[in-house]
Amino acid sequence: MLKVRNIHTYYGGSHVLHDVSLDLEAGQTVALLGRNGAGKTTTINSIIGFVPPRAGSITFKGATITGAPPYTLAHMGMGLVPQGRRIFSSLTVEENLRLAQRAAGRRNGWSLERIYATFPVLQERAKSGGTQLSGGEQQMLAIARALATGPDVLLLDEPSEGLAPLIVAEVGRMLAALKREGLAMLLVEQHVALAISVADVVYVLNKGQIVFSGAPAILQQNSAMRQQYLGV
Amino acid sequence: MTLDTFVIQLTNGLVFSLLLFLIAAGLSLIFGLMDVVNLSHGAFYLLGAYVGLSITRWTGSFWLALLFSPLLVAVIGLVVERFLLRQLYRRGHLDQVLCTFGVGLILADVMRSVWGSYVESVAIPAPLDGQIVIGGLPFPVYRLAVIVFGLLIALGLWLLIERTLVGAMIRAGVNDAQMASALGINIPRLFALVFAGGTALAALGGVAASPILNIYQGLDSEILILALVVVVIGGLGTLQGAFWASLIVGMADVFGKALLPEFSVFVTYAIMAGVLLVRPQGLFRREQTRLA
Ligand SMILES: Nc1ncnc2c1ncn2[C@@H]1O[C@H](COP(=O)(O)OP(=O)(O)O)[C@@H](O)[C@H]1O
Ligand SMILES: [Mg+2]
Repeated sequence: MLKVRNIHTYYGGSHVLHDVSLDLEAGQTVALLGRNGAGKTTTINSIIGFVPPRAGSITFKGATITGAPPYTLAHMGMGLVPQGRRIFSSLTVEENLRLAQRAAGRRNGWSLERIYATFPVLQERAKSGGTQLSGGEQQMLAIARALATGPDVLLLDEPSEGLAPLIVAEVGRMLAALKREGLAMLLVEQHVALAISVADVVYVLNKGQIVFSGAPAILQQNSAMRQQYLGV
Repeated sequence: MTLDTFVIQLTNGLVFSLLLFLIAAGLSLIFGLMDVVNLSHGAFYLLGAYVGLSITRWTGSFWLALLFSPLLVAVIGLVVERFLLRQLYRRGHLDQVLCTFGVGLILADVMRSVWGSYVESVAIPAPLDGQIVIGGLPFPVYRLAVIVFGLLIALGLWLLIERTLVGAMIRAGVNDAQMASALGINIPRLFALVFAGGTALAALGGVAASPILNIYQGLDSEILILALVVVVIGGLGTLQGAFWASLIVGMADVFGKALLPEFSVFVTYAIMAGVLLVRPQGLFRREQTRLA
């Protein structure tokens, strides 16, 4: 479904991703782990088109999307839950959702009823400004907003960042439920336990290079590697 | 200042403020959404006035000018956005400023060669030519009409931005254009739309002003500077900010000229400096996040 092949991504002159490749099949959850600054967000930025790679290729549903503008990817069914949530502060919760439903021009976006049934707290805060929510509520909104676009692949960049343990557990349950529905997900996390609990395949990035890919169980058994690349 | 002259100046202040709002609204939205300081905005205002002048002369109808001049100028704005500005979004502010400044200079030269360096004016259209007496004071009907028209446009714009899907897209784009794009919003098209809309508003201001303010070469930069002051005071990318700041600057200009003729320019800038000291982000600035 999503194939990243030997990409090299730069910020100006600084070469951040070195020959990164990864695969995500339909219905799969792939976790991308690594320390702070390893290049996880840059990988997401490369896929969604924020920072197009200078070399290598990315295909989505068989079409080459390297360097395509982000909005065309949303139309093709790629959804993004970005690091830091990036909720629109001038829009109410409901406007954030309605905008997402309409902007991607897809038919399979989650309806407001379905979103509110899944995230009751968003219904309570429907008329609040997007950034008046707590961190956990904002994260739910960021996930709901991506689902409202009707994605076939969801890119999630550290959805547990900065959240209290109870909320992290809720995010974990949410991801497991989405996985059961067959949504393909690329999950970037620093919270290794959370990622391993939902992932089918794990990749580990270190200094912009993939240093491990395989089943979560293998990573779990290899404490030396976990220590070296993840610090846990 | 007697009460009578005060009321008259107040009317003039309102007229000028609302004309200023038409110009500053577009400038502020373009600045807030596209992160482009459009230094050609004043030239689009003047172009709107000149094109309106010609349409009025050819057809004899000010109303056709009011309708078609903004449309024609918007088309020129679209061309400028599509073929010049769009190449520069990924570059820094300096490139954009140089580009829009250059466009402004070129337009000014074109206007000089087409319309010459005379001071022009347009006759007040017939049904609005005259005065009505309210509370014993004579008010020029056209000026009152400009006030009503300006308020209606302001209300319409507010509804557009705050109550419609396109408006939500614009607000989202002002907050975080990159994230808006990732949700599927065609950002280049939204930029083009807002740029064209902004230039049309400036041109509309130019036509609406032409029966009461003269049209002359150099007016483009005078207007641009006042509109920039409005944007600085009101904050980037906010219609409410542009509205209230237009009132402040318009009133300061009119009353400054009446009360302190030697210091009128100073009054406007003193207000701007004061606002910058207290609220450097402007009175109403929308929150913006720009990553990557
Ligand atoms: N906008 C940027 N400009 C320049 N360098 C950046 C930018 N964003 C990230 N980097 C650098 O790229 C590297 C990878 O960053 P990032 O992908 O954000 O890491 P992660 O998401 O794994 O924490 C880091 O060294 C970081 O400093
Ligand atoms: Mg990151």
